[in-house]
Amino acid sequence: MSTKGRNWFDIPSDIMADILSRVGTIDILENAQLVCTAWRIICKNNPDVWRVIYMENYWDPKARPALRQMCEEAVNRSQFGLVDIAMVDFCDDDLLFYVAYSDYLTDISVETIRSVGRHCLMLEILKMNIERVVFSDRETTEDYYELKHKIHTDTAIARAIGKNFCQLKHLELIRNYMTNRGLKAILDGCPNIELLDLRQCNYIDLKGDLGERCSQQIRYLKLSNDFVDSTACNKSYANCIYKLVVVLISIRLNESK
Amino acid sequence: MSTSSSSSKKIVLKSADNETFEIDEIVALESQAIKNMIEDECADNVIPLGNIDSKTLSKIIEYCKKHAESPKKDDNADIDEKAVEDLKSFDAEFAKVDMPLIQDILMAANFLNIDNLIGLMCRTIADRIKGKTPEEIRKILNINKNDLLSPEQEAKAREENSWAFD
Repeated sequence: MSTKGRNWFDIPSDIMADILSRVGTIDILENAQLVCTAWRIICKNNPDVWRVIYMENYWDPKARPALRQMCEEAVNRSQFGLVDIAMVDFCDDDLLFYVAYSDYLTDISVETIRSVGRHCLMLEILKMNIERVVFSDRETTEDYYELKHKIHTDTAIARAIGKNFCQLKHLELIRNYMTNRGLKAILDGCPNIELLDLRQCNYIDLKGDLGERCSQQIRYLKLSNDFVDSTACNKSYANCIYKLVVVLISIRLNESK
Repeated sequence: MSTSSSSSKKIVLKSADNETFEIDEIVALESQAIKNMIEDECADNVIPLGNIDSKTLSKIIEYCKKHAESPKKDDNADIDEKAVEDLKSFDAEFAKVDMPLIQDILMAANFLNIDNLIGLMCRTIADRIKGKTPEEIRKILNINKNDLLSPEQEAKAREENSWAFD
């Protein structure tokens, strides 16, 4: 190839998508997609560009409506490929509903929880019931790290819930991978919880003090081995990688002022 | 092929402008494509790379040498922090080249299937166009003028961007 007259068409579109995905959500929508026709096509049609959506506002109330629209657009373009989303200081309930019910989201970050917490101070119900392929008995090293990672992430998320949702009354965390540390943070941070669903949370141990505390503090407690109906049960155990099939966040704001 | 002798074995790469580069096999193995060729025993003494010029190829060899020398993550669980830092700063220095060369390296790395290098180049390009206007990006990347959006397409795109802040 001569050193003159390079053409960005020569770059395969998966690589171009890789580059664009690193540029950042806001930048793509505002600038990159207007650069040329090739980029416009990739930005519109290649969901790999939108696997991670990270958008941040810096305390500018006027920017929030625009950011919400952009975020919706980004979620649409991800075409079910979304693996992580962070919406900092602009998310409202409508947008959250949109993201959650669009079924696009396959993973949730601590940042999402924080951001939801900031905007829904009075949140009373939170459901983060997760369906995923479980790890098999014969774990490979890769599974082991994957599992470690899940335990770490879910514990961090549990702690974020404890920190950010002090008004919660109803919390469902079926099949969460958190450990006792996560659960303790929730019990400490959310004193008003009446219903706590911990079914198939296999990494918490309720034999000791924490279990006792749970049964004292929580009125309706659903525990590890209680039956989970088939709508929440995934039958496919084929691969040993976890898969979040359904993430359901439902929210009811306290309507009384 | 025994792996014990591979450290001393040499491979010769030939660029599009007929320059030859003799390198240790272990360095060449950084390229998944060359690795496959060697494993399938379809690599001759000299591997011709008809679409990579010598300037690009020497950069790529420089990169592969450094990364081949550096301890691999899966070799040892407690990896040397200093080696990681060293490699990072090497990568940062390596990427300080002009955009045409970055693009050539990216294309060649893609052809040779060198994952880390593809990632490094993608990151570099992304960093250079972050926060820039479409016009600035076109200039930085020397985007072909024939590929610009038509006025109608541009208008449509702007219309879609109804969220515009201004």
